Amino acid sequence: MIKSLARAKANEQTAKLNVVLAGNPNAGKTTLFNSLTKSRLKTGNFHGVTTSPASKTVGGITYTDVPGMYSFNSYTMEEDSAADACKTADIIINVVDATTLENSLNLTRRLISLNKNTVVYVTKLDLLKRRGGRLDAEKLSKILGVPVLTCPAKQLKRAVEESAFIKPEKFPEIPFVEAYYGGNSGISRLEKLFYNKFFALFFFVAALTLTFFITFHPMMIGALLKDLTEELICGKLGGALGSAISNPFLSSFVVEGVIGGVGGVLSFIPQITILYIVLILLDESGISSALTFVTDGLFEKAGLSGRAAFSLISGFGCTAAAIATTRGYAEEGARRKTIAVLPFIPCGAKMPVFLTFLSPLFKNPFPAICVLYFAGIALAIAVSAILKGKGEGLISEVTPISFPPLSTTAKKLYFQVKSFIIKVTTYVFAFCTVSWLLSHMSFTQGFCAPEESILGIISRAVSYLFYPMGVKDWRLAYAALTGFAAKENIAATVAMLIPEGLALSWAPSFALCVFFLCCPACISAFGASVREIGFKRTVLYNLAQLAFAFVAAYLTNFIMSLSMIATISLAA
Amino acid sequence: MSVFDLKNGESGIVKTVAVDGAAGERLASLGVKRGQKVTAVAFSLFRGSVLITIGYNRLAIRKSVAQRIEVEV
Repeated sequence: MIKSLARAKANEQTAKLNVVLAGNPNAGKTTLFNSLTKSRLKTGNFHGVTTSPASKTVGGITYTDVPGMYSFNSYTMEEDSAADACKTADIIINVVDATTLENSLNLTRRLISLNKNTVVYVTKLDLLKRRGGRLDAEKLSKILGVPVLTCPAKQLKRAVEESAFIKPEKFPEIPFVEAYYGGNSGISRLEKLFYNKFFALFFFVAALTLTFFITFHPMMIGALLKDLTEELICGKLGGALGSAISNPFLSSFVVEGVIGGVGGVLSFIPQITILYIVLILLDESGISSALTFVTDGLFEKAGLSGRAAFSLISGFGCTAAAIATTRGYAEEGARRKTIAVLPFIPCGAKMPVFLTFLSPLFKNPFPAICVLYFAGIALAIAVSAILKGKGEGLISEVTPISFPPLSTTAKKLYFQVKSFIIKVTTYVFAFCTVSWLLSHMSFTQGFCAPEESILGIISRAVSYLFYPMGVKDWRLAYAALTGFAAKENIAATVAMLIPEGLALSWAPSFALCVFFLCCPACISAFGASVREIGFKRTVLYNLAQLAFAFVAAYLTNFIMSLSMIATISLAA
Repeated sequence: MSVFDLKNGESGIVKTVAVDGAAGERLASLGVKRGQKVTAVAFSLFRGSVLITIGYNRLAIRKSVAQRIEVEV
């Protein structure tokens, strides 16, 4: 038994044991933390995913996951917080990546010198074996003088709980090569391909385009599944409930309000799932990391760094999550800029919005969607080039590229889709209920037609802002308002309040798409932004984005209307 | 010549690392030291940075820093 551990447990039964997971970036600390505490903190095959410490207490033991660090000379804010956490630990589990073990030992020795019970836990042994390396944990443990474990996480947890660590005798004379051989250090031909700038970009554009194709082309699986889901929820379920409920008021609420609104958004799940799959694969395979390197040259010119590529790609999933990734930036200016342009990247929730407005016009919305998404990327880069601010990212590590582990991918996908469903069936459901009530009640406490309702009157005031983009329907103005709480609300509100379908012509439809492409992100993103750059700046950015969105939409409507008139008069 | 002058796939031995401050420490902690073999793998868009392998680590280093790492071919 380690002496101080026994003493700690004996003296203070109420005091919690503080276990800190420390190690180099991308060693696998957060993955281990998730296993030990049954959490679901974000992980990724990227250096710099964890940006702040996180703790959870399980069975009297507090586990703390910290950002990766190389040493105690803090290069960044995250390394600072990691160093602080180590100093207050009772046990330090030094998570070490087997593939970069030799280099990791610098930190290991430093941690050992802190004289807190240190245990080395080695990860990614399979990758080490795959490239011909090997590790003799016992010998290494004798060289270092601390336990070196390679067991599954469950056993580690048991060992921590039972304080069953045996400190080996130190034999520093054992040659290191007897304990560890790193294997082949070269980069495979396939990996070299992804580091080639032309191929990497081509691959990214092709992968995104192919994804959009599978997701949005009317003959491909994404659209087919969507129609099927919609038919099941809105058609069958809605129809069944409609005929079962006799009260016309309640029936309208359930069928139009709930099923129409919430169900409408839920039918996008197949398509959102496909998008999530691609994003997760890009990340887990290490291709995101390669892209970060390749695009760094481009981002440097826009005053950012390749790290922004990672944040922007994350933005395709969720803007709030993408904003959180900027915490790791060393430069304040780069962080602010990236957060300012992230809303231009259409998040997963904006997808139903675009489809809602484009489907009435296009049998095949795929090309239009591509244009929107790539326009968003271009806008983000262009605007950040215009904004002032220094870039950063002089030196960064790049992860190896390997086939993404299927179980991790599946787990992540399940979790992300589940979160989406929960958000829609709770949050959006609540919003739809309130919207429905407000749109069917007037100020004089009676039930009325939507135009005279509370909602109708309020929205009409706002809707004047939408006139210059060719949109006169107050219901659309209201839908835009609901989007601030969550972008999923927009499609739901439109489906609910305009059950007869949209009848907008080309120019206003495109104008609306441009508006939603440029408008500020939802309240979750607002919160994340406040955490990173403060309240005042966040409000300022949001107002600027809103103004830009309106102007861009007005311009779109103007230019498109002009060109339509020109085309018609030319044809005449 | 510096690491940045290496061609794709070319290797060299590190002679000096004339980088100060936090960047210098980061390089050292990632294994970029005198006597180590370093290989240039690829360059990013607009030749903004270079990807090198040193030992088992892969680093992306910006031009301004890479040009101050002297190597012997």
